[in-house]
Amino acid sequence: MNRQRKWGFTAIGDAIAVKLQTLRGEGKINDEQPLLKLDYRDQGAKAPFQYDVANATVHRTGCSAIPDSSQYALYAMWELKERDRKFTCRKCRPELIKDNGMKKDNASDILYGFLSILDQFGSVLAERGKEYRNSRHGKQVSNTIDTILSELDNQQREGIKFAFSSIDSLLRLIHEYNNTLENGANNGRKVSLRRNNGRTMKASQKSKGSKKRD
Amino acid sequence: MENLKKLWWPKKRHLSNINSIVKKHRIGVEKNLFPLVNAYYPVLVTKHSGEFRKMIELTTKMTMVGRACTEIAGYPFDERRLKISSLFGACCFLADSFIDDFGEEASKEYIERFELLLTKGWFEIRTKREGLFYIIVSRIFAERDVLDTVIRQAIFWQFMAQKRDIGLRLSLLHFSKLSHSKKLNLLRECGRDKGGCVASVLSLLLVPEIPLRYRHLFYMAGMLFQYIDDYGDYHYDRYYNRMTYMNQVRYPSGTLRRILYKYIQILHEGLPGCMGRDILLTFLLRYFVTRIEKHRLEQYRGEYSWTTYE
Repeated sequence: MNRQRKWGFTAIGDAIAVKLQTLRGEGKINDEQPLLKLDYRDQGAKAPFQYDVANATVHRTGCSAIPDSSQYALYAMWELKERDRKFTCRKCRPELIKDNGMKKDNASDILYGFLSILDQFGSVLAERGKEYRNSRHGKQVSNTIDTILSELDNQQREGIKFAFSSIDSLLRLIHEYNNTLENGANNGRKVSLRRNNGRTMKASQKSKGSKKRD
Repeated sequence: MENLKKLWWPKKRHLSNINSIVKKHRIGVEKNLFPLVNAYYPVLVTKHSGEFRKMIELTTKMTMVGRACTEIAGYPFDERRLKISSLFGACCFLADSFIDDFGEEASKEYIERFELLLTKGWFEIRTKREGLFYIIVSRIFAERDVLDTVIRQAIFWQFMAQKRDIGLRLSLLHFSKLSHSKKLNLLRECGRDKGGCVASVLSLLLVPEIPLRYRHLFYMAGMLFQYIDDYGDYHYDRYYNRMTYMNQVRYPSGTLRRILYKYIQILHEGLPGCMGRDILLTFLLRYFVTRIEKHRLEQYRGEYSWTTYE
């Protein structure tokens, strides 16, 4: 009997979350790269203001009036709004700053995030890709794509070509990036590329063996 | 005496209202958590020790605070927010149990593993209980943008406050060299930050854009819950040599009352007059009354103190 399991989005999310940790446990993911970094201390130290939530006071970063006891109650702030003026420290008198664009991710951060995922899970994805290509379902999908392509007009085909060439450029970029890292590693240095939002891409001299590329 | 006359005190309608809201949210919390726990760690539900019931009670408390904060910030407490507060309550319950219930070595190790989870995202799942915890964490992360600058700071500070607390308990910090008054100051700060951080994370997960003036008041409310909680656990903590401000201060009952009366007044004056404020203050006082009773009843129970309180 062909039993089909119905998976909701939540269950799929759970399974992916667990699988990521399992892959790491099996040594199939290079865990030197963070999957998710919540620690904001490095970036927070660069913010212009710190809000002491325990004493309801906004200080300039580094103000000497910040109590030692507020160590775990300080929140880095990138902007100060008019409505918050009454909470400003009397000693350092922070000035109003409207959004200076430091807070949110920009498009290049998101692209780097995407690249880091491809980089991190590249070997796993390639392995899955090979298995999938040879499976019955994979062959069916391939036939379907061929059928769809044959039914497209010229303009649509050009559009698809353009999309593929963009992906190709992206992949070339990743290869170049990897080569840079490998060269850096061969020189005996730890190469790291740090982004503003805390995502980090690293490659170290000691590769964990999960860096194979197809 | 004059001050006591001015003190805000809930009216009868507030008390009956709060009881019906607690009842309603307890059902909602159980509806959210039962399928999750049953799927990933069913033993927790069937255990005779009533651990699942404890989880539900703690989560209901979180949900009440979460609802109050949401309404004070001007947002409705809908199904999604109920789900988030249920997940957060369960997450705190399990994290606390890992740190409290498996011995000192396990506490130290869990702190290291939680630090890895927050700084790198990696967590080795060794048991079904840990699996449930990890699933709950990942569901919370899926519900909100945890890379939001304020939320991620709140989560990290909550962890750091917890880490300091464990450090004090296991004498990893140079605590014994301090004078008694310095020790008390440190324990008072520790309690304030532990409770304040929990209230911060909870309220920010429910409403990420909370104005600064409310964030401070929610932090203070969290601090009050922590002190009340520590007063309720007074005998249990002493039995296991866990130092808290409430079990080290000379007159705990009087100290707790003084702090409570002071901050109830501050919260009443600082928060906007709305249903959320009434819920928060009434629930705080209700919690205070039940923990005074718990403190009295648990006096001679020591290690057998495992009763579930509302």
